[in-house]
Formats: sequence, structure tokens, C-alpha cells
Amino acid sequence: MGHTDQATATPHWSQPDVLIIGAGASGAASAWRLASAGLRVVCLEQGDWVAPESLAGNGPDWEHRRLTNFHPDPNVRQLPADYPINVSGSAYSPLMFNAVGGSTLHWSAHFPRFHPSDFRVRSLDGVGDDWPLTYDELEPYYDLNDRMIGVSGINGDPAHPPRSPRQTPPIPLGPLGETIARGFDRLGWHWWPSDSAIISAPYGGRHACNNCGPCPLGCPIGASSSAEATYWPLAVRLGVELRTNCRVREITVDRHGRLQGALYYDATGQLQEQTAPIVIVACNGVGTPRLLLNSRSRHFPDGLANHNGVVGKNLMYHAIAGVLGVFAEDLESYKGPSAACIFSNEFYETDERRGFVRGYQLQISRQSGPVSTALGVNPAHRVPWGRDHHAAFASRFGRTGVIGVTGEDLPEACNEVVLDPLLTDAHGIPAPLVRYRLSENSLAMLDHGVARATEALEASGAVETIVNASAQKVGWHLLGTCRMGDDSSRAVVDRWGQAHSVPNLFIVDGSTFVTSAGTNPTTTIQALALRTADYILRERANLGAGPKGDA
Amino acid sequence: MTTILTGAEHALLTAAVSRIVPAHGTLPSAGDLGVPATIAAAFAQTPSLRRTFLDGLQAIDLASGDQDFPARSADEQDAILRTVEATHPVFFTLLVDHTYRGYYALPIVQRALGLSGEPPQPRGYTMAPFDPALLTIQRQRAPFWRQVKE
Repeated sequence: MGHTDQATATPHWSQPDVLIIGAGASGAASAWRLASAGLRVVCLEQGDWVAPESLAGNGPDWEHRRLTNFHPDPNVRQLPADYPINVSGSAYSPLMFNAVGGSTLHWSAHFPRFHPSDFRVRSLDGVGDDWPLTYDELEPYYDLNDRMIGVSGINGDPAHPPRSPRQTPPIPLGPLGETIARGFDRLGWHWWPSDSAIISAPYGGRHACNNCGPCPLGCPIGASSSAEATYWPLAVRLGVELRTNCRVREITVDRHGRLQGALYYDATGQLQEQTAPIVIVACNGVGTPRLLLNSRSRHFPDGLANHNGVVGKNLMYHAIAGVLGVFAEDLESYKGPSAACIFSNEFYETDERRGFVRGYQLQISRQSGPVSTALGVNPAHRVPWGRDHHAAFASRFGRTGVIGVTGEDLPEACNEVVLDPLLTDAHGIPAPLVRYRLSENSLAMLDHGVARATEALEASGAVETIVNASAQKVGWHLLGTCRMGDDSSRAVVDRWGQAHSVPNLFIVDGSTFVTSAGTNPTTTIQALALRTADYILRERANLGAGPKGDA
Repeated sequence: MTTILTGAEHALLTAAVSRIVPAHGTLPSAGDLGVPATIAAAFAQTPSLRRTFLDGLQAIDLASGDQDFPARSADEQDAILRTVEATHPVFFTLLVDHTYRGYYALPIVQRALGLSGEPPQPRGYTMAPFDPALLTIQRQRAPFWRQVKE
């Protein structure tokens, strides 16, 4: 099995039961779940399949491609599948990839779950909002998703409720991970091997990871449990019709305001219409509000489902910084999956003595490759040029590790996605404009986290530490812009992901997040997508979209 | 390969990158390993950066005064480059970054670092599997996640 199953012949559904827009992490999971119950599903994706053999990790120019045509920032990459994003109102550029598999093609596959407390932020800490669901309600879907894609890790973490057995053992720590783990032990701080969406042993017919390193360039051997290597081959085999190079212009409603379908430009640029009784939007926290805001009608003059002006508000990227440690000995830090072989949740929960609410996760990652070693994490600590260059390079190569700080940023209406008044994509569709800044709480959190990361590196024996105060000014995770909630005056979707003001319109990507938690989101995104799919299966007759005798 | 440089500009670039990453032991300098052609090709593909790049090369030439930059001694070249680094920081960062990007992508350089000189795949790396004994201390800790009342 694997990517090549894309060639499997699929039926052409002119009348699907469900239309899904976006073939990334959440679109893939919901497509598989719905199709496995026999529903007819069409998925529209603006990108294409990326052939494993075309991925950067196969070629000698892989570090160059990471900085150019496989850069995680679409404004740098500018591939035909990408749309421009105006970030002039923001110090941060959002990262994403547009293809079958979406941003899981360039993820680092760190795959932690949220904590029970993450769903009760308002009750516990008086900030943000509570989610309209609990960890316990989501747990069966976390488990199902893990089984479907394959997650490496080990049970017994004292910082989190017990989890079902991981599918494969932890990814190797290597000398670097072991060195830093001992540093955390010396300080009496928590650490644990990461749950990673990377299989360390064969699973589901896929090959085990061979520790080549640069996961964010896409995995040529399919060991990364990304959506195009896991859910999509299964979904296509179940009959899901995945139409690639199809960019949706707008979601349409009829003259009564009832959901109708979507208008999209096909691979030849021809405008097409696809009707469906149920539409699922899965375009990420920037793409989804963009699409809804672009879907205006008499009934929704400010954008579909935007009855309360909340669509696009409350963008959360996570507050992220990093500290690079340089060690005296060769720790082979270029070997092994680059991101987060271990993590620490010592500072994950609120402790008001620290001067901020909520918390962060520390993630231990490696540096892969000689070019990135020479360039450093930012220009200020690039390896110096000139006479001393080679000695300085030798003192770093294989000897560096980064402790990243991933902090919870809270929902704020001023952090937002709106439509740019002028900028459009190649099809003339209005592009998004993003405004984002870090709050005082997030900045205080990062200060604390950077100090703790530095302390941990020193306790691990680092001879030099270099702070990257705000990692590369990029938006790593795209969350919160179509928030979920029971109160239809303050939320875009309800607890099942269904739009409050548009029956049968569902959102399953990270834009429904109520709060961001101090950790990576894709585990939770996919669990929520599976849960919404089950709701649709259960309630389909009541949604006015049930079988019409031909199913 | 497309070129956007005159012969003199190419010679100047070659001399400059040979000071940015000089020869070391048996390893030739960036200039002697063809990195200038790689850099020139990169800027040929990125017209938006070309002006910064060409202006920067001219700044090196001007700072070199009445003697051509390539003909100057290593110490003199280093001093000139430090001057341009201060006066043209955007250009100089581009130049150093592209020199490193070209140089460290070369298999001959990677082999000198003890690497295979091959791409990440299909070879990968063999690593020792995770050792559960590393968790001895952590496993002594009682569960401490924050409890939530439903």
C-alpha cells in the first residue's frame, strides 16, 4: 500500500452525500470515516498528490529546497497550489502546505494529546473559554486516530492520563536526546519520550522510519503518519472521489439561505459547481475563514456562518521560542527525526507565581544537516565566516540541540484573518490578510520558558546557549478562527462542529479550537474530525440529508 | 547554466567566497569548489534579489580601491569584506548564506565531515532503539496532571 493507491479507479459521484473541502489532516480523517460507513464522499483539494520520489529528502539539494520550493511559508514557496497571504499587518507568517495530505506533508509529527485541563481553561484559570466537550468525550477518537495512523511512544507518562498502548516504540533518542534527558533528571523535572506520528517499526503495511532526519520535507518512505500516507489510500479505496487541483471559490446557499454546495475552479481553470446536502470545510485556520468570508450572499452578507462577526477572529498560532545548546562532544545530532524526540510538561499548567496564566511544553529537537548548522537558527548566531570558520563549524556540527518552548496563546479578537481588499490568488479569489501579535501573557510565558530551557541545557552540559527569542516569526499552528461553543452569539460552530447559522455546514480543521493548549494540535484536530464524522453518520436522517432510498 | 555575471564579477565573487569559507586541510575553499556558479544561478532565478546582489558586488569592488579585489592579499580581502559587511548588511547576509548553502551541500564537503555525502534517503541512519531504562527516575514520579471536575 502507500501513495500509489491514488491510481485506484474511483466512481464519479455527481450526487455525493457529503462534500469535503480540503484534503489535509482533518479532511482525510473525516473522508475515511464517512466512506467506511458507506457514504458517497467527494473531496476538493486545491493542491495535488506529491509523489514520494519527488520529495526533497531524495536529492542532494534537500537543504536548499527547504529554503525555496519546499519552504513551509507559502509566501516564500509560491507554488501554483498556494495562495498569497498578506502578512503586512503582522510580524508572523503562517505556515501551511497545499497538497493531498496538507500541512502534514511538512510537519514534524510531534503528536501529543491535549490534557483534560485544556478543555476547561475558563473554569480553571478564568481566561479564554471552556470547550463544549471534555477530554473523556474525545478520548475514544484520540485512540481511534492513533490506531488508524500509527503513533510511536511509551505508556506511563505521569504528566498525562494513561493512554492506550502506542502502536510502535518511541523514536530513538540518540546521544543528544539521552544527554538532555539526563539534564532534566538532574533538575528533577519531568521529561518523557514523545508521542510521534512516525512509526518506529513497520505498521499498517508501511515501512519503519530509518532516522534520516528532515521530517518537515515530507517522508519519502511513508514512515511519517501523514494524511497522504495513512487515511488517503484507505479513503480512496473505499470510493472517496478526491478531485485535486480544484480550488473552491465559495460555498453556496439557495435563495432561502439553505446550504447548496460549492463553486470551484477545476484543474483546467473551468468553473464547476458541486452540490451536496452536507458540506465539511477542512481548509485550516486561515483557509477556512477565508473561504467563509468569500462566501457572501443575501442571507450571509458578511460571509457564510458569520452571523455574529466571529469568523476569522481569535487566531492562535502558539507562542514559540527556542534555545540552542552547543555541546563539547559529538552527539550525532543530525541523526534521527528532527523534532521533539522527548518533551517536558513540567511547566504545562498554571502556576500564578510565574507571572502568567496557562503554560507551555518544552520540546527537545535536533538539527539536521550541515547547511542548517552553518546558517544557525537565526542570522545572529550563524557560524562566523572567515579564518575561524572551519573551527567554529566543527564546534557545532553534530553537537547542537534545541529546546523549543511551545506556549498556549489565548484567544483574542484582535488576532484575526480578514479578506485583503486588493490581493488575490491566481484565480482572482480574494486572499487573506492576517493580523497577529503576542499578548503580554504570552511574552511573559516565553521569557519564563526561555529561562527554563537555558537552565535545562546547562544542566545537560551545554557549553554555550543561544536564545532564539521568538522562533523565526512564523505561525506554526492555525487555530481558533471559527471557534466552537454552545452559545451561538459567541461561537461559529456547535460542539459537533456544525455551523450555528447554517445547518449541514461543518468545520473540522483547527479553526474550531476554543483555546490552543501549550502543545501541538494535529492529534486533537483529527480526533475532532472523526467525532464530527460520527455525528453526521448518527444524525444524518435528522439533518435532512439522510438516505433517499438509493443508498 | 544561465549567468548574470561578467567575467570580472565572477572573479570577484570567487575571491570573496574563498575568504568566507577558506581552504582547510585537504578541503578546498568555496571558490575552488564551484560555489560561485551555484550562487550566480540562484540569483539568476530570483530577479527580486539580483539588484541587492549586484550592488553588493560593486560595493566590494569600490571598497577595493585602486587594486582589484582578487589581486589583494587575504588579509586585505578580509578587511574589505568586513567593511562591506558593515555598510551592506543585507547583501552580506545573502552572500554568506548562499555561500554556506552551496558549500555544505557538496558531497565532497559532507564526506570531509564524516557523512556519507548522500541525500537523507534512502540510506537514513542506524540508531540504537529507545532504552526504557532511561525512564527509571521519571517512573518514580506520581501522576501529576491537573485534575478536572466534570
